[in-house]
Amino acid sequence: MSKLITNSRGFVSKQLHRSTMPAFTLYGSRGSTNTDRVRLTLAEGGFVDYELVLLNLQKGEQKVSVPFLPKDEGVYPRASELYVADAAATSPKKT
Amino acid sequence: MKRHPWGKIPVIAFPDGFVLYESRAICKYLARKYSFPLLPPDSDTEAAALFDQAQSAEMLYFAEPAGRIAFEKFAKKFMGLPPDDAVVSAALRSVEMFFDVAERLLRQKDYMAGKDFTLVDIYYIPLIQRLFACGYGDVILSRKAVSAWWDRCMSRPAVHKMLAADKAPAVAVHK
Repeated sequence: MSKLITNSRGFVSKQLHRSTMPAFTLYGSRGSTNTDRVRLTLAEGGFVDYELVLLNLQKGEQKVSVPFLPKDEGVYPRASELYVADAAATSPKKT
Repeated sequence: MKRHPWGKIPVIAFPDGFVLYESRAICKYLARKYSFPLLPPDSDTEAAALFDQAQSAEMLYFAEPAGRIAFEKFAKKFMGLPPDDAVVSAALRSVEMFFDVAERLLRQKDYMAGKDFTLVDIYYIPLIQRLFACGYGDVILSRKAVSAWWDRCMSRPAVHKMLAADKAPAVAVHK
């Protein structure tokens, strides 16, 4: 199974304790349609050897101290996508 | 300001340092790298071109207006802001016009890029789901060929399984 980790700090600590590295890490956000596009592709491919890290956009985890992001590329996600993901992060999930 | 004023997701990062963002580029890379049967074979130049054509249509004519609807009707609700109805109705008109054309095309082929299910079909799924969530499922359901295509996509075991799991309440990672 792909592992699901909900923030980058947790990701680091988990990584240190893994015996085998996953093939790659997918950084996304809950409720992000763009993230789901990638997850659906992996699901269709039957590929589970990856780590899913859900960044909390509301806390700005995607903006700061995220070492994997390339610097100064000048390309940004559409504002709508950002806010959609933000909204999902703040929506009540309890049932 | 930080170097990334708005940040980027999704991103994939490999242990060797390779990093990629933009969801469609990620999907295509993963499908190539791991040989998922979701792309036309490279040897079929025409099928590859039709795939690119379908991909452009999805990005420019569908995702752009559908994304506007999702922002106005879905995201803004959580931000405590009212939707801009003029933006919604203009975007909805664009989406309706898009599916009028798609309806004709899907009478001739089973999937967006041709006879086989490909990444392009996957590209549509998240935003169409959001249209349903916003109460605009009729743009799909009112068109026979589009609706049949959507059923074909939704009945795929992997797609069905993932979406059903996402909908399930009390997922462990939820706080």
